[in-house]
Amino acid sequence: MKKISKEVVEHFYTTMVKIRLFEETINEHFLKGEIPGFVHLYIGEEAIATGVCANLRKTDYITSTHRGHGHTIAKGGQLKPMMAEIFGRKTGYCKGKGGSMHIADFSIGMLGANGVVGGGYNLAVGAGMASKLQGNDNVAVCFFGDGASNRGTFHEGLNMAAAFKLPVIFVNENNQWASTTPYRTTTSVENIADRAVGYGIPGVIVDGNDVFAVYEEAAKAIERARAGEGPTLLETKTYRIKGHFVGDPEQYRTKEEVERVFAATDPLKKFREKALAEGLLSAKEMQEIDGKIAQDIQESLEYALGSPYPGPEELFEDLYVKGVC
Amino acid sequence: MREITFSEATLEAMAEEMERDERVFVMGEDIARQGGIFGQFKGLPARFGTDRVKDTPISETAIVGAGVGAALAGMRPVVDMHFADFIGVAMDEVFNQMAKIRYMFGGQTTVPVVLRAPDGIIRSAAAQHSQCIEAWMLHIPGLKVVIPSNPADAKGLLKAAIRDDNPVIYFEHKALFAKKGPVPEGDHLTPIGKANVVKEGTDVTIISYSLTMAKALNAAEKLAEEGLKAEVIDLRTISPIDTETIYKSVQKTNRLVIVHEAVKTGGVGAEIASLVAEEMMDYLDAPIVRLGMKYVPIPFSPALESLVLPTVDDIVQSVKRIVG
Amino acid sequence: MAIEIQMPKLGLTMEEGTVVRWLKKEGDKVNAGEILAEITTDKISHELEAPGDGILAKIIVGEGKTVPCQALLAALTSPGEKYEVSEDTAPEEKAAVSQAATSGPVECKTVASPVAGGSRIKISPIAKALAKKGNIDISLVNATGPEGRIVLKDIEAYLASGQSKVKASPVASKMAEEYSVQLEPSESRIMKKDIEQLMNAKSAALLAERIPLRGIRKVIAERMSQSWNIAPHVTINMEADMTEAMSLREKINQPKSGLKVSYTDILTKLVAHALTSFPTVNASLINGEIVKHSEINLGIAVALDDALIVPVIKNVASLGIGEISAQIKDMAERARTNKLMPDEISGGTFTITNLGMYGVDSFTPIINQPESAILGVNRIVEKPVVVKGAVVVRPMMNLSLSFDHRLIDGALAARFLGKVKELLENPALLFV
Repeated sequence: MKKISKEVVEHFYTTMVKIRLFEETINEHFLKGEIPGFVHLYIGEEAIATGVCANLRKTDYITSTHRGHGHTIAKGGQLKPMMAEIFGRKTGYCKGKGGSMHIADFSIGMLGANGVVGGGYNLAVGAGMASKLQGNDNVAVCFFGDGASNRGTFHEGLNMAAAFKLPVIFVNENNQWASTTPYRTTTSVENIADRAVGYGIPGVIVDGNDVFAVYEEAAKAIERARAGEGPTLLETKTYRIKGHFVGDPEQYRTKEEVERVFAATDPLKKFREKALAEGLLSAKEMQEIDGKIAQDIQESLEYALGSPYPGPEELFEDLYVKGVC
Repeated sequence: MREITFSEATLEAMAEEMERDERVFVMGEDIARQGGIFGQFKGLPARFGTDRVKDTPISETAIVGAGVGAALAGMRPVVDMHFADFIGVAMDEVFNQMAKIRYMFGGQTTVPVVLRAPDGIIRSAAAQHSQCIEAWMLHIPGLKVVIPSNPADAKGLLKAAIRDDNPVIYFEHKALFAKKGPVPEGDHLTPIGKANVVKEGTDVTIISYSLTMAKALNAAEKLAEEGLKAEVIDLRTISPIDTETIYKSVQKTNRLVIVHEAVKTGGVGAEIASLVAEEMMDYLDAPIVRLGMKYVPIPFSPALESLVLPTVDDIVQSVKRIVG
Repeated sequence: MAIEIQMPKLGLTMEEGTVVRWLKKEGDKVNAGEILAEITTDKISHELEAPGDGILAKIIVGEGKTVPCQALLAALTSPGEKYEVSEDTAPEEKAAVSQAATSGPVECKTVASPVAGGSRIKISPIAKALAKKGNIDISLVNATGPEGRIVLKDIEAYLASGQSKVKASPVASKMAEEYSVQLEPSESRIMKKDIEQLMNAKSAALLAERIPLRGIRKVIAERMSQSWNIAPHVTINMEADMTEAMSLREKINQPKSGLKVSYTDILTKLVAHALTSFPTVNASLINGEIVKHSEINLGIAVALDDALIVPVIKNVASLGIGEISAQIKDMAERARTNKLMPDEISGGTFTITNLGMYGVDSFTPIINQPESAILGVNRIVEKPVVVKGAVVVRPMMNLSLSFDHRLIDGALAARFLGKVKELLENPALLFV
């Protein structure tokens, strides 16, 4: 394992805490009825987006899912326009037209959360194709869940990326649940990564609750991609701590199961224990980060709540690009 | 003016745009080695390489999805669908991704993709290789839809589509590829959203497009022999519909016939008829007539296939019926 | 079986009636004889009785609507019975249904086009718009378009032909003609109320107080104008010596008889007798035909506080003076309390109007259409007259007879009036 700088360690912690607190804030305000639509939380999966994106440049691309807040934060998205978007405000990333499931920030290569499960593979493939045509070494990371691995687009995307040796990393977040269905009951293989064989690409399994491990395995895959060696299928094993969406009655599993698993897998808890044990970050340093992030989240919340809703004049804005041809 | 085929006209458009802008590339099934099933890509790989003229796996969702992804990453892809019928395979990529990304993400990006979709009935290709599905696309906010009827517009509309920052579905009738016609050399652009009044008249407006334009013009000639002056409009763009040209013509002729190869029910004709009924009611002197394909899948046998489409005589009779 | 209730024909001349008010609503249970609605005719208001027991299933003619006699107004059903508008009312609907029922399996691709016909005029939208702009009554336009539709060129041709007319309802056109009002093109169809408004406005310009013309006053106004306009009136006067008539009245009114006859009663009897010899005076001009009535029905004008009403004594020739007197008294009383039945104020063949009690010596009464003459009765006044070369004082009464010169010539009128005078002066001739 290569030496990880303190800066990166701090980044890991900062990012994971940011995601955790952001999601807890969303949870609270959704339950208060202040957020329209529905939201899917990333709590318990923070180490994956954090570990993967810590390897990416601003010019690299990611495609995301309906459970996408963590991906955007990890890729460098700003809290204020994210929060405002989730609250349906004009100052949001998408001017209030996307919402929780459709957050994007094209300025940092975040090509959008996707409401269609399995909708992101081929967008990432296309972005990888663009990098290749443009002659640069930018890569595209496609985050997808275990449920999405059963879409036909998985096959078409992985095959084409592999056939053309495109710089795409397919990061599977196996949180065990496809909405309310345990993935094992609907999936033909034990590990999603096993399917890599069918495309002649590396299939790697990693503990998705260990940010260090994710960071390390993602680094290898991204390096291969930049070197023109083609895609990797990286399966990160984790567990979905919250319901499919906020408000999910979760009749398909017991509270005890969730608590038992979370006690063992909480990536933040694991990080803190390791950081203290190995002297990577002190308790004080972590507290300072906690305080700073809490303040940032509070500011983003105030920003969102203080922002206006889009006006009727914005209804048709952005439907078409005007003034061409 | 020199005359070239419809197929050559599209090839010329592709070559000119690929020459002009290196972000333009094209991918699809059987386009590089074979040169396209109608020869519409012949010679392009030799000129631009097989990275920019790319044969793909038979993976429509991947081709269309990757086209969208590449557009988001700064390219201007042209995606060939082989047959328009196969858009159905990649429908999520068309209507949930391509059409919505710009709006859904608040205008942060453009999606300059062109989807080339050879459509229409030709030589008993049967139910899954013969359809005209432009009305599906008309129903999707965020898409532009064009449909040339002749080689000059084939070139002009394709070039305009490639340069447009919006996703454009480019329907090209398979039976038109071999048709010859005058085509301007060099930078010839046909504006998207602008219909073409091909023939002026005062007694009835006949709106058509694509291959069926030939029937509309033929009918207009037959009507002229009987002293009826039909105004014939080539719609050229299905979305956004050029209502200005349509309304102006209806104001003049007070009668409207719309004819297309696509199924009549819920077709483009239905939309135009509705628009005219809503906006031009007080200019109508007769019921609006729609002519389109019969409400059946396209049968294989030539004996049956020949029955599904409106004929020149159908157009002539319809006009005579409403002119009285 | 449903009972259909029609607009009644209340008398000879009634052609249409107006539903003023429904006293029962749909779904109400009604008993025979209960009042269902108030109806007005051009003469009187009338209470419409339920012809049987039942439930008022359907009101077809709403309040304020005027419909021809015999038009279906409402229907009574027995409990649980379903009422459907009959074939007569909706012939088109019935036709469509029966057609569908007999045409066998329905093909889903052919949708039956609406049955053409009825009063609906097919017209294209642009033709309609142009017609509206030019205030053209499209029922006058010749349709040459497909399926009998009026198309743009038809309206253009109509405009070019110069036939285009002011768009007005038939009633409004008629009224405009009556009042000599020049109609001008307007956006909307000119209706009766527009003319009324115009006439009211004209009156208002002259009068300080504006009272809308309505009710019986309006009916009187219309009928008087109508009569004056259609019938060339001539009035002749003749004096009668009332000595004998007065003596006769005294003899009749003696306490033993229990009678109290008026000069009007006596005149009624005498005029009826005179009319038996002058069938042309007891006649009407209706639709270009001279109708000589078989009965002598005499109208007696009764002045009300603010109106005039004419109850009719039927078949007077067969009545004795006592009966005549009783009927006139009864009707005059009921006229004042608005309790006359429509039949009691219609069907007259000749009218007597008496202004004598007001000190009038002569007037020109207006004929009560469709009658052809009316007798004006004046006061009895003592006058010096020459009898057999000597000046004597006699009770004299002037008789003013107005007659319709279309039907009655002056000589005939004079002979008839002379006959009345003769009978007054010598009532014994009644028995001749």
